[in-house]
Amino acid sequence: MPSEKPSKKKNFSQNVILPVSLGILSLVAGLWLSQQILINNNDAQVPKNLDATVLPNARLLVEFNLLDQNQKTFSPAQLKGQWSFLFFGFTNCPDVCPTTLKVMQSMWKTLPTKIGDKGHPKLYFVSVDPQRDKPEILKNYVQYFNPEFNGITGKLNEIDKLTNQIGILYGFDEKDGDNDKEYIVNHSSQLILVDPKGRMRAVISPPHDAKTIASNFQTIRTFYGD
Amino acid sequence: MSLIKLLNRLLFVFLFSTCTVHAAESLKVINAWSPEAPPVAKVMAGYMTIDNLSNKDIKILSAKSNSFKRVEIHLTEMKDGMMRMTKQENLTIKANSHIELKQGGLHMMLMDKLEPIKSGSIIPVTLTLDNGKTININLVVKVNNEPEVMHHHHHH
Repeated sequence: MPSEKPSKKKNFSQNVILPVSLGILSLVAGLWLSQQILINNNDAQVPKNLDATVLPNARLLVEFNLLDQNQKTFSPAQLKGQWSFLFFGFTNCPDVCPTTLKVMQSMWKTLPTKIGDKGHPKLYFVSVDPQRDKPEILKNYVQYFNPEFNGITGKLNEIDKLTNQIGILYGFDEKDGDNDKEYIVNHSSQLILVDPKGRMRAVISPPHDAKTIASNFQTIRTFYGD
Repeated sequence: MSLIKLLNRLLFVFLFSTCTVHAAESLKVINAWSPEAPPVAKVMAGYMTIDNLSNKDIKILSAKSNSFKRVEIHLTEMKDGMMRMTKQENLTIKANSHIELKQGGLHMMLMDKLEPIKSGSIIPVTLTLDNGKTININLVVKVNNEPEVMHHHHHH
């Protein structure tokens, strides 16, 4: 029957296509696997020539329960899925905090990614002064610098759970004068970079500079992958 | 902003803030400015260079402003792994010398803002000196897109 001819041809081409596609598939899988191994190998190494201090063994951040500027939970889960910068301070801070947030505003303008893009980071400004910095104040404060920035605060014991894990220090200076709302908060001014798995990956020490932070961040991102 | 308003502002800035020289006290204050702060912020900072052109040390005893409840001079310094702010009871500018109030160092701390202050505003501040005299300075409020800390100043 003439109708069987194309059918046999089809069988023949199927016989060829299957091994070829299997071959391509295994090649792709192999490449992917070697890429994964490469990434996993990088995981315990650090990129060179950085101003940031990179942790060879990224430290998983656990167990803290804070509030974001919209009164929603901010816990380790919120640090997963994207790179995050953490900075600690308070809104009654005249010098260090606004200067650093201004630097991060400039740094954000140099990012090659936009909000929603893979690898686009988040910035969390964590107030260690929950007595004065209510979520709505924090929201107005950080969004003045960039509408993408997030303000975080919470109970002091929950803030401590986070700061103790990453080596951030803070303390209150004795309240002087007639107004007990006037006091100074001393605090570490390092920026902490958290990877998309929610692990502390790098510490960036002051004086902060937008260009250096931007280039260090891209180097770290490329080295470890998003 | 209307043209008249703009001209007025320019004239104002020119007259009061470019460079304040006080021959009698021999203190010269230049580049007095304040970074615009988020409207919700209650505090702001003041930065400037203060030149002492005389042969005597001059001490600034206090500072005040009508736009803020209190004005203090603070020093930001790294201590025990933290940025600490230490209130300076007074500030001495040595004879024939100058001091710089700048980001991450000595700064004027303007506390408890009494009125909205935006870029382009002028914050008047009065300094009281140990010779009994007072001098008036004007901080120009600016949006600091390029923080001073990023620049390298060359002294000649």
